[in-house]
Amino acid sequence: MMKSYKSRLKLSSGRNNQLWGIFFVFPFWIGAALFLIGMLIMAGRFAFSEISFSGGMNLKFNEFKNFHYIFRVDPNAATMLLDELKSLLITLPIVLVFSLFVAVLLNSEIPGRTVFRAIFFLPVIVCTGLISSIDRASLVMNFMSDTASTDEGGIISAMGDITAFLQGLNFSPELISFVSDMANNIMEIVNLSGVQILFFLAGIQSISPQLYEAARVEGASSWEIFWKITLPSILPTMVVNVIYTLVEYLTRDDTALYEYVYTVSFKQGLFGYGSAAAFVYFLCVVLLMGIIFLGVRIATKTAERSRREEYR
Amino acid sequence: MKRSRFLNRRYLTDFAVNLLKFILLLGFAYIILYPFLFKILSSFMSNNDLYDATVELIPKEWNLERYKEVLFYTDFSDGLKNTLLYSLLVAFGATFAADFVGYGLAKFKFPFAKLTLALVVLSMMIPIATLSIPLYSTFRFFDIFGIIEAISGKALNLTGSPLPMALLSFTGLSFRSGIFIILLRQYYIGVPNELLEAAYVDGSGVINTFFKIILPMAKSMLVVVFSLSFAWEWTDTFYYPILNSNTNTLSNVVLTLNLETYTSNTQYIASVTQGTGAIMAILPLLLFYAVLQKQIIQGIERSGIVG
Repeated sequence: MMKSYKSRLKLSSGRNNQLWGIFFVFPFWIGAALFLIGMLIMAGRFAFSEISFSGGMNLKFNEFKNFHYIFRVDPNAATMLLDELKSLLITLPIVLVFSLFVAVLLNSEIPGRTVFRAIFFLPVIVCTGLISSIDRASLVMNFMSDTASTDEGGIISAMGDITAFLQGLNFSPELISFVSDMANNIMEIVNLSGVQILFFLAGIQSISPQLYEAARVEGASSWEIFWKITLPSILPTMVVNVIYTLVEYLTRDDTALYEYVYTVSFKQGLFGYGSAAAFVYFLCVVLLMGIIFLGVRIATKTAERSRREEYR
Repeated sequence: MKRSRFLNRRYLTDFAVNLLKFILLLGFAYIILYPFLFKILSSFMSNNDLYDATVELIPKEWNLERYKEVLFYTDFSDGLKNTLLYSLLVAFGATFAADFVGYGLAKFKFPFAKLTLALVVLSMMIPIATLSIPLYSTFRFFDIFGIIEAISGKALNLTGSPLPMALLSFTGLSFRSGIFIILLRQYYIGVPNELLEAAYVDGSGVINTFFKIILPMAKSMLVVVFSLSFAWEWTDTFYYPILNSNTNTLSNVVLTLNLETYTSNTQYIASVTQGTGAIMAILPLLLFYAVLQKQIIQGIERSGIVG
């Protein structure tokens, strides 16, 4: 009896363990070998090539000509890249703050909490591709033509008043455009926050109530409790949400940059230019990701160290 | 779910604060629901109503003109069928891949485990603008390390068939598949090793343990992965135009539905018709969400704690 017990345990360790591990991840290995790595190499190669489709796909190495085109010849590409990165950097913190805010709101005795949760999650299910592309198109259209009697959202028309109001108060034009951009993007931000709200909500609800009670007894205000207890406790959730928001943002297909790449390559047939623009964006994103991961690592390490010192 | 008791102590201020919170939430919910409300109500408007400045949201003359247009100019039922098939295919594939790969990464030590995890993370971080052209050329000229070209002399053209989506989803590379893999990996890391060892001691093999014990445990996560990948494939506007641009799927149909070109409709009315098509396209998805809503939300909340 004892012997079989040991041999069984062995099955779950050592060489067999390795083989089973490989068995389970094998689908992904196939995908990585056949598609993922190949596509990444292609993305790099295409950016430096002139691509033509006659018979098969023909690549001709043309040094930095594609990059020269997108940065020096095409007036749209460079600004579009910059705008895209800028909006990524702005959207990320705003989505995080907004979803945390909504999660805090939802974490209280409010009638219809479950209904609200379902509504806030609705865009994740429904608004990912089709609806957001159509909305984008019709939004652009509404801006261009005044024939439409009803304006989508109603927010845009209200924004005009606010902009005028801020201008009257002599705020700097940068600030005004930032505020009005934010207000215009509220729909987008709400749509991007569905999953993050639920993650934050779960994080907040997993904090033990005794912690709050103790803080109350010590005389802490709600404001202090939020900064000293809630926020540090949901730091791991924050990291998850940063990553999720990034992924969500990068895989959206209703962005101006993607539209540019798609039009230039698939409609005009200039695959090299599209590839070069996409490749530059990819490099910027990788750089940004590296910075964020490094920041997260440093933050968690310092948090751990300070915790350890407190125990001492 | 347990809430602290002291929150209920100061009734009056609490009531005021909660009222404020309620109003704020109502505002945000309105922002989310307004586009749907607008699309649904405007889809019932007649041409006169659409240009009538006094008509705000509620149509004066209810009619089904837009719906008739959508059904007349598109093969909607065929699109519904194709979309359903594609979505089921991708949802099964993504769930399978996420489940297997997530379990492998969580519970086994094997060579290149760290590299595999890094590749999973990388795979979901590739911007789709970067992915689009390589994706197209991979499946337009499909080849496995030059073997197919060596045999038949020509690379295969897989675009237009469901094969690319099947290959991508079953290998964990479909839309945001990396997230699903990480989600299940985190979940399985939380499953105690003692449980597995107990199963092994009782004579259950690795495969048997996986299917009989692990899978039923992870049911809530699998529902989440399945529903999200199903929904995202249903409304997909990235893969279809690149890989299956001629396939009659709902998102292809609605995106290319531009009645301005071949009816007397103005651009504005054409866009309303397109919105109507979109509403019709997502209606099955809304029903799907209404049924599974509770499980999806609870599953995601649970994964949030683990993650």
